[in-house]
Parts: sequence; C-alpha cells; structure tokens
Amino acid sequence: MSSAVMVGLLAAGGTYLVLQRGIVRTALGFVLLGHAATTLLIAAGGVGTRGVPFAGGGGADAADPLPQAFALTAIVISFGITAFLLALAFRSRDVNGSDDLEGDR
Amino acid sequence: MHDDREAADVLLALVVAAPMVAAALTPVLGRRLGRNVAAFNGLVLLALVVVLLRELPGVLDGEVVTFSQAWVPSGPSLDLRLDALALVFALVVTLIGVLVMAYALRYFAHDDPDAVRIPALLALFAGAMLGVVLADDIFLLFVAWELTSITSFFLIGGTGKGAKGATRALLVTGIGGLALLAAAILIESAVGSPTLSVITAQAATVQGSSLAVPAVILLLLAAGTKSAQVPFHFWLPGAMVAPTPVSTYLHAATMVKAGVYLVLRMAPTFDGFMVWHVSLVLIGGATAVLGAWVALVQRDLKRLMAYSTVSQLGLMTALVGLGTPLALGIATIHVLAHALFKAALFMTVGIVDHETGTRDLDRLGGLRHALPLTAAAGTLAAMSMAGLPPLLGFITKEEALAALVKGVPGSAWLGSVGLVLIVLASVGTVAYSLRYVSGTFFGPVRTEAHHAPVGFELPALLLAAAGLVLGPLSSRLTPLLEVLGIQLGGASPGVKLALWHGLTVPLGLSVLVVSLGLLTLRARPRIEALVDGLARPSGERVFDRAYDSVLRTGASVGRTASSHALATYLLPPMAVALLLIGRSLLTVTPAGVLPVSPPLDWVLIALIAGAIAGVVQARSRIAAVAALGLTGFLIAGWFALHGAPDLALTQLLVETLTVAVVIVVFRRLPDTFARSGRIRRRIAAATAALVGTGVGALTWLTVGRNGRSEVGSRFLVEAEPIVGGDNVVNTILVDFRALDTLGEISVLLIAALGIYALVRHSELGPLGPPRTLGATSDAARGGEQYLGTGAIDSVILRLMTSAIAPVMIVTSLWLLLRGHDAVGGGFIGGLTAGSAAVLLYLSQGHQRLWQSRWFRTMPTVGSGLIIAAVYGLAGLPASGNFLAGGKLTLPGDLTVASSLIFDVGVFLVVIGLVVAVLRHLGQGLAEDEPVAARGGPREPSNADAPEVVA
Repeated sequence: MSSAVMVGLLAAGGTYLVLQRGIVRTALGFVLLGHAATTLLIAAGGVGTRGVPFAGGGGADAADPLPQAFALTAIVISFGITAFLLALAFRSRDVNGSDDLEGDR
Repeated sequence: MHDDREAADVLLALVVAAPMVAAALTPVLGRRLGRNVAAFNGLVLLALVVVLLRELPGVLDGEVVTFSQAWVPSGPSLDLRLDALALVFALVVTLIGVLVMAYALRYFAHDDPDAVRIPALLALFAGAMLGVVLADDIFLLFVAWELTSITSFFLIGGTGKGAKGATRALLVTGIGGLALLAAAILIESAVGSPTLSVITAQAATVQGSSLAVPAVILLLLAAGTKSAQVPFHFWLPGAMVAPTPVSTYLHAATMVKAGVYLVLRMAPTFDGFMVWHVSLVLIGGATAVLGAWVALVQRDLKRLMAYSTVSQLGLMTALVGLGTPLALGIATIHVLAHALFKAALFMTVGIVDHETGTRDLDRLGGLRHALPLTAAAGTLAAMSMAGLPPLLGFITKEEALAALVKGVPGSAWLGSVGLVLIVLASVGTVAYSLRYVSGTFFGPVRTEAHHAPVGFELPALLLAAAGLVLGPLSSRLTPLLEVLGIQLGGASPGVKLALWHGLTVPLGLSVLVVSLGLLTLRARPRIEALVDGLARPSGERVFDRAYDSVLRTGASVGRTASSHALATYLLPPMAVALLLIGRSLLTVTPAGVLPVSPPLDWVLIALIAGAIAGVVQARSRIAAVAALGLTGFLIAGWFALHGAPDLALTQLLVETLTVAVVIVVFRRLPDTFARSGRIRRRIAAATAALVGTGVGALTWLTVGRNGRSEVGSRFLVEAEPIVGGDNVVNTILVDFRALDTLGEISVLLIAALGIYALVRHSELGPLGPPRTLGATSDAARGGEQYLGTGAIDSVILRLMTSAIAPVMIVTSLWLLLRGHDAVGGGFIGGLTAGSAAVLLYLSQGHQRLWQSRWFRTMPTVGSGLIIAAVYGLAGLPASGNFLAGGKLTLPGDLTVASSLIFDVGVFLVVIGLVVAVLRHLGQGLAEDEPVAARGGPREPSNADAPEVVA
C-alpha cells in the first residue's frame, strides 16, 4: 500500500514539473519520474521480504535481486539522461540567455 | 577448355566490379592526375570491351555465360548471365563509356572539380548499368537499376545548379524503381523464383497468373519512367542541365535504354499477352511521334537532342511491342545504332557549345569552316538518325519498317496503327535531323567559333564513322540478329541485313518519309504553333504542382505538432498513457495479498511527499535542487529499508552527483525559474493529479502481491555455485544479464558523447577552450558563490580535499574489487571515484581538472566500453557465448571471477560520464561574459551566435 502511494506521488510531482517552462524544471521532473520508475520496479519484486539478497545472507527473507539489478542500472541511466538534459539547458543560455525556450518566440 | 570457361565466368563478375573499383580509386588518383584521371577510367572500360568481345563468337553461337555467387541468405543472389541481348547492351555501355571518358578529358577545365568528380561518378554508373544488363536475378536487377537513378541524380547536378532537373529526374525514375520492385515481387510470387532465366522459361505460368496484368502495368511504369515514355518523358529534357559528357552517356546512350532493356528482357515472358503488346505499341508509337515533332521546334540544341532521344526510345518500345523475332532483334540492334549516332551528336553539340558559347540554333550557322571534323561527325550521325543510306541507321530503320509492315500476329489493326505512328515520327525525325545539320554547320556564320583540339573532336568522329562503316558491312550483323531473334522471339527472323533488298515496301516508305521530311522542314515556321499545342499541358508543370502540393501538405501536417513548448509535445503521449491506465484500472482485478506496510514506511513516505512538494513549489533554482537532493536521499533510505543496500548506495552517490551537476549548470542560468502562466499551471496540476492517481492505483492493484519472482529465487540459490559471487545483484549485472549492462553503459557513453558534442561541436560554436580564469574572481561576480570558476575559495576545503580525495579513489577501487561478493561493484565504485572528481573540481577549480591528464572524457568512456566489449569477445572462442564468464587464476593460487574485467569497463564508463559533465559543463563564464539576468529570458550575449529556432 505504502509503495503505491509513493509511486503515485513521485509520478504526480514529475508530471507537473515536466509540463512547466524551461529545461531545468523538465530535467528535475525527469529525475522524479525516474524515482517513480525505480521504486515501482522494487515494489514489483514484492515488499514482504526485506532481507539483503546475498547468497547465504537473507535466506528465506531475502528480497528479490532481479528488480534490484534492473533498478540499479536504471538509476545510473537516469543520471546520464539528467546530465544530458542539463547540458541542453547549459547550451540554451547561448540562444536566449535562459533555459526557457518558450521565451524565444 | 573447362578451366577457360570458368575463368570467363569469373570475368563476368569482374565486368560489374571493375568500374566500381575504378570509381573508388578515381578521387585518389585524381589528386595526382587531375582531369587526366578520365583516361584511367577509359582504359578500365576499354579492358572490359576486350573481355566482352572475347565472348562474342561464343554468344553468337547461342552460348550463355553465367556466374553465380550466394550473397545474403534468403536475399538476392549474385547471379549474372551473358546472352546476346546482355552482350549488346554491355558492349554499348563499355564502348560508349571509353569514348565519353576520352571526350571528358578535353571537356573539363584543369581546375574544375567536376573534372575528377564526373569521371568517378560515370565509372560508378557504368558498373551499375552493367549490373542492370547482366543481372539474372530480378531483385539484383532492381538494386542496380536504382543505383543508376541515384548516380544519375548526382551526375545531373543534384546538389548544385541542376537541383531542380535532377530532383524531377530522380523522383520520376524513383517512382519507376518502386514499380519495378513491386513487379519483381509479383512475378517472383507467381513463378516461385527470382531468376530471370527461370521466369522466362515459365512464361505460361506467369501469363496464367491473376497477377499478370498488375505485373505488366508495373513493368510498363518502370520502363516508361526510365526510358522517358509519354507521359513521363518530361524529365529527360529537364536533365539536360547536366554537363555534356553526362548527357551523352546517361541520357542518350545508356541509362535511358534501361527501360527498353527491361521490356526486351521480359518480352519472351509476355509473348502473346495482348495487354503487353497493345500498350507497348501505343505508348511507344505516341512517344515516338511526340518526341520527333517537339524536337523539330526546339531552339536549344541539347533540348532538340533530348526530344529526339525520347522519340527514338519510343520507336524501340513500339518495336518490342510487336513481339516478332525480327522486331525484337532489330530493336536491340537499333539500341546499338542509336547509341553510336546519338552519342556522336551530343558530343558535337557539346563541342559547338564549348567553342561558340551557345547552343541556340538562331545564333548558330556555318560552323563547317571553323569546325570541319565536328561538322563531318555531326552530319554523318544526323544522316544515320534520319535513316539515310548507307549508314547503319538506314539499315535498322528499313528493318523496323519491315517488321511493322508484317505487323503483330493475331492483331492486324495494332500493326497498322504502329506503322502509321512510326512513319509519322520518322517524317519529324528526318526534318529535325536536317535542321540540326543545316542550322549548325551550313548557311551564314552567325557566331565565331574557336578551333577545337583534334582530341576533343575525335571521339565524336569515331562514333559517327562506326555508323558509316557498319552500314555497308551490315551483313556481318546478320548472325547477331539471328541469335537475338531466337533467344528473344523463339524463332529466326529470316532476314539478311543488307543495304539493298530490291524494290520493297519499306524502301518505298523510306522514300516517302524523306520527301515528307524535306517538305516539313520547309513548312516548319507554320507548324510551330501546332506543335506547341502538342507539348501542352507541360508534364514538368504538372509534376511541379503535384510535388509542391505534397510538400505543402507535409508542412501543414507538421505545423500542428510544431511548437516551442515542450509541454505541447509531452501532453499527447501523456493523454494516451492516461487512457491506457484508465482502461487497465477498469479491467484489472487484484490477485494475491498485499503485505502490510510497517509504520516506518509511512514516516518515510510523509517526508518524501514534503520533499516533492518542495521541488514543485520552489521558485529559486537552489531551493529546488536542495529539495530534489533531499528527495533522492530519502529514496535511498527507502531502498535500504527494502533490503537493497547496493541500490541505496548507488542512489546516494547519484543524488550527490546530480546536485553537483545542476549547481554547475546553474552558473550559466538565471537564478530563478521562468514562471509559467496560470492556465499552464492548472493544466499541469490537473494532469499531474490524474497521472499520480492513476499510476498509484495501478501500482496498488497489480504490483507486489505475489512475493519474490521465480527467477529471483533461483538466482539467490544458484548464483554463488554458478559464478562464485555472493552479491546476487552484482552477479546479475556482470554475469547473468551482462548484455543488458553492456547496453546500459553504451547509453552512458552516448550521453557523455552528447554532452561533449553539445558543448564543443554545437552549431552555436564551441565554447572551448575553457574560460575559467582562476579561483579568486568569484567575488567580482556579484557575490554569487559559484559563479566564475568551479572553485570555492576555501583553504579548509582545499586541505580536506587533498586528504580525502586519495582515500575516496582507493575506496572506489576497493568497492569495485569486492563488488562480486559484497556491496559495491563497477557502478558504485565509478560513482565514488566520480564524487572524488567533483570534490577536486570544487576545491581547485575547473582549470585544474581541465589540465589534468587523468580526467579526460573520450579516453575514459572509450576505454571502458572497449574493455567491456573485448571481455565479451574474449570468451567467445572457448565457450561460443558472448560475455561468457569464468574464473581467472592469479599468482598465489588466488582465483577471481573474470567478470571483474567487465566491471572495470563499467567503472570507467561511469567515471567518464561524470568527467564529461565536469569538464564540459563545469567551465564558468568568460571574463567579458555578463552574468545571466535574474528571471526570464534576456537578449543573447553572444552577438555572432546564429539564431537557432528551438
């Protein structure tokens, strides 16, 4: 239940920001959407067992390692996307002095 | 003997390949040889003429040379086949090619870039055209056919002043190319084989198929567009903007004959199929008449020749339509005759243009004095075109008339209609041929001409002389006619070629045609208005109108989706996603029991909700980033609560780095956000609420009710025994699903490259070299702490960094090494090392980082990906698997999993991405660059930056 609430909140916050003006806010929105996706992945693995997924570590209570592996790369990839979006914002200054492309009409 | 045969078969492949190789070499040789490089290409083609002539005796005996090479599985195989028809065309392509190259030697100026470009493209074209005529696979024929269209586009001058004509030609022939592909698919599915010789042998199957009529229509479309038949003829005169060697080779002698070749090749398949015969005779006859009479009223010599070519192609098409052995054989020989006289004529037009500066008939005359050899060549060639004895053109015209008189078996009216049309066309032909000769070379001198070098005139003279020699020697061509008739028409034509057959009907018709032609030439001024009406509506204009309206429609469709606002692009996909979510919500019923969340979860979620609200509400950038960082740290805590220490650590590091990157970028931006309008905020809030509710509800309904996955449980038990790693998450990353990880680090590499390219190679101009100036100029930047350079001017920070950074680097290596068994791994290690780089940047400034030999973008990301890929390939020979794992034995009986090497690659790519951000986004503003204004857009500070429409 709790994870569903969190995924919903992150998705809502991310959506709101993505629809605002300016690339930086869009980038921040994508970070939140990324969080929503990774937490959804972990929640999909089940939140009942919470032991560390090490061999001989968690035993019967170990969490599912597969979604964790997916989520780990997803986190790093969303970092790459954030960095690229910010590079766009960085460059847009040379076009109109701001990251707000809509002011350029 | 057998060995000889096989050698010849391989030579067949060489015939197609050699010109293409020559084309590739031309630019290289051209640097040294300049325009003389055309001679090299000419020699290559000459060698091919010799190769082909060696096959002539065998082919005249009815032999067929083949070459076959499987190429792509289940694709077209490289099947080549040389029979009499292919040999005639191949000889035309190579022989005219030799002379065109010789002509090009003198045509271009020394310093003209076309002097190398055009011969290179001409050689490539020759290879493609030889592919068309030698292909025994209908799809291979299609590929070569398209290649001729594309080379033609560039040869006409597709990117330069000839763009309009070249585009028309490309689109018209391109439509034909698609029709050919469709026809090929239909015929292949009717016969079950793409091999042309097999298709020909199964003519009855093709004709009996319900696909026969569509296939014929598509083939006619292909041949009609390529060979400039009515109503597609307009592209050929438009292509005359090309340099004369190109017009000579492609648009007179060879490429435009590809359509005629196609219908000749398919003639045995559709023999007796009335749709085929009727359409070819009518289209060809109409084209012949239209071309001849429009040619008569042209003032531009090149356009006159272009319409003349249209007319002659119509004659050949009509002959193919008759379908009798004599008609098919004589159509093929007329291809040769036409190539000889028309290439010569184009060359003479080029010489006249070159030496007088004009091609306008009203300004030309009397050039026989200044250009005697050109005049001789032009006159002989024009006589051949008009069908006057004793030239080769007379022979083929006579036999064509004879074939028309005999008519089409089974349809008397069709032969008669064809005969009337061709006689009418021939009258026009005689008239415009004589007009060219009398208007250019005879009469009063109107424009002075330079003398042409003999080498420039020689190719034209040789071609014209060939027509003169082959006329009286035409009996030597009888065996060729014989074998063509048998191979294409299934029977001997029963005709011996000769100048004199006695008083026959064709001879009478010839006399009539020549007399009427002379009368027409006299009456030309009076019939001009009549012919002008014939040329309307202009195909060019119809085509342009259709073309423009297609572009306009595309633009107006595009405009509905074109906006400066990112939200405009994002809303439609979001709306669709919402609809999909809504639909699922109605249909999904929850299965399984959701575990109850412990209270600590709810506390964490309350904090996260507050942090999200902070990000969303913040007006200043710094506040937003602080709230974002807080969100990330709380998410890391949530991961830790859910038994994911690796994730928690990764999230912490990534969040730290994200905040650092955002701060770094902010230095170039205003420090508050541009404020959205109220309507925008409301729409965004409503969308966000819907998305949040929908996603949350769907998560609650579908996710986490079934406990651990089967695969996950298996990994927990079997990971250690199989790959010897205790950290199951890491073993999944580097062993079980290493291919995914390889893809993911490729994405990181692309992001790093993107950042590098945006900053260093953008059309806005590169920013580098970096404009950071030193750690002390911060204060001058209006007190903004991070403006100016990367560095925080703090002694304490600098001291601490010099102590901590090495520890962090060592820690990162330790995390990397132990990752297989405990928390850590390439991603976490790389992020830790990246954090050390950030610390270094903050304490010592961008310049230090920039000058460092260790923190470089390309070497780091590149070597990382290469290491990962090489590791993947290394195991391939032994195990047959890409990215196969294993154990490495180190000195001292130490064994480690070899996937550590892969993790090193991951480690380096992650570091490289962080380095890319710091190096390229981390530079401050230049001394003279104003600090960005607060809030909202401002005028560009960089005056010479080009306007970019975002």
